[in-house]
Amino acid sequence: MADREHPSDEELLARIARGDREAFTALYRRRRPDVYRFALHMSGSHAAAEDVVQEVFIALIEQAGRYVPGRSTVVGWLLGISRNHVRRVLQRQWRTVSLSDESVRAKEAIDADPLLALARQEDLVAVRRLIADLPIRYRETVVLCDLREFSYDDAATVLQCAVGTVRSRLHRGRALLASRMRNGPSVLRTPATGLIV
Amino acid sequence: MTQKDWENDRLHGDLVDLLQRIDRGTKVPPVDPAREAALLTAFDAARERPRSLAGRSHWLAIAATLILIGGAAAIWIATGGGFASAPRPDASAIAPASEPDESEFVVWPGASALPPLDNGQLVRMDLPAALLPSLGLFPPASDATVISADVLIGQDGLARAVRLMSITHNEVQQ
Repeated sequence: MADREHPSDEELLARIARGDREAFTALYRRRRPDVYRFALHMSGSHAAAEDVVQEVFIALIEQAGRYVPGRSTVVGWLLGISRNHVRRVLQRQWRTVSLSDESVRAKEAIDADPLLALARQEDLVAVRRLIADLPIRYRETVVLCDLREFSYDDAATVLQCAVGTVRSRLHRGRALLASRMRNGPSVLRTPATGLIV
Repeated sequence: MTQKDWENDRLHGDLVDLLQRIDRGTKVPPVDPAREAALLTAFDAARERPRSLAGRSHWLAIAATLILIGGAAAIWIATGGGFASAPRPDASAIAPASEPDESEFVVWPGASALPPLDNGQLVRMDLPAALLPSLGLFPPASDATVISADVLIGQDGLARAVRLMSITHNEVQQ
């Protein structure tokens, strides 16, 4: 429940549109993780995710007044903006930097933690790589629906397509991902389903 | 339901479970104060813009005055009065009092492939000195690790150009 101390995203966005600096800071700190995670899953790169967050919130400064309450959630609206910026980042081929960047972070974690972290980081890097290698229309659907747990309706709003399209892309994306996991690194396979679970 | 459908459902269920655990396990780094400061600078700049538009008539009056003064001076010179007969200083003898504070703008890598710049904002931010060569810029002679720079952000939020400021954090601290 939104109140004066905990205003809703919609209230913050309305205040941002009126030039409220504190509201901007509050929304940035509250929703930065959502944008970051989406961009990270889409790009496979922490560096690219940081850049996308920055670009999305710069765009928000200009576009805060264009948000239409009720058409989508603020998070969905932000991820819609993020989607465009992620595509531009990918077009600039920052992904060539990204995977090694991920590996470096994994290695840092390995150096700091015991062997358990090694296995987890290897799994994480491998799965991220497979997700980042999906064709973009399947990738963004899988990221929104399966990783970010958006409803089909909300995902359709973000992706600006029909709910049926979301369903079919999700089905195809999951099938592709599962197939690549079964044929991928051994860390991702189990005897039961072919996947780590 | 066939055996294959059952296996597919189970496989997709496992996959979704795995993906959701990956998302929940994804650590988001803490807010970088420099990035947040850059955003707030951009926010302030955007908020200032309407005020500058409101004061546009003031600037138009100044511009008109300057044009009138310039025109009058040109006529004065053309008619042989005043400045035409004054001795001109030797251009080579004129030395700048000091080096300019700012470098020229250079195009941000990849920006030439972006849509044309309609409008934008100038955002001052700190760039790592090590980043400068990739931008086609030479780091200053000092051993500063962080360089203040003006980055021109286009209407789409993407960087278009950058110029370095001569004053660095290290120099300020010294």
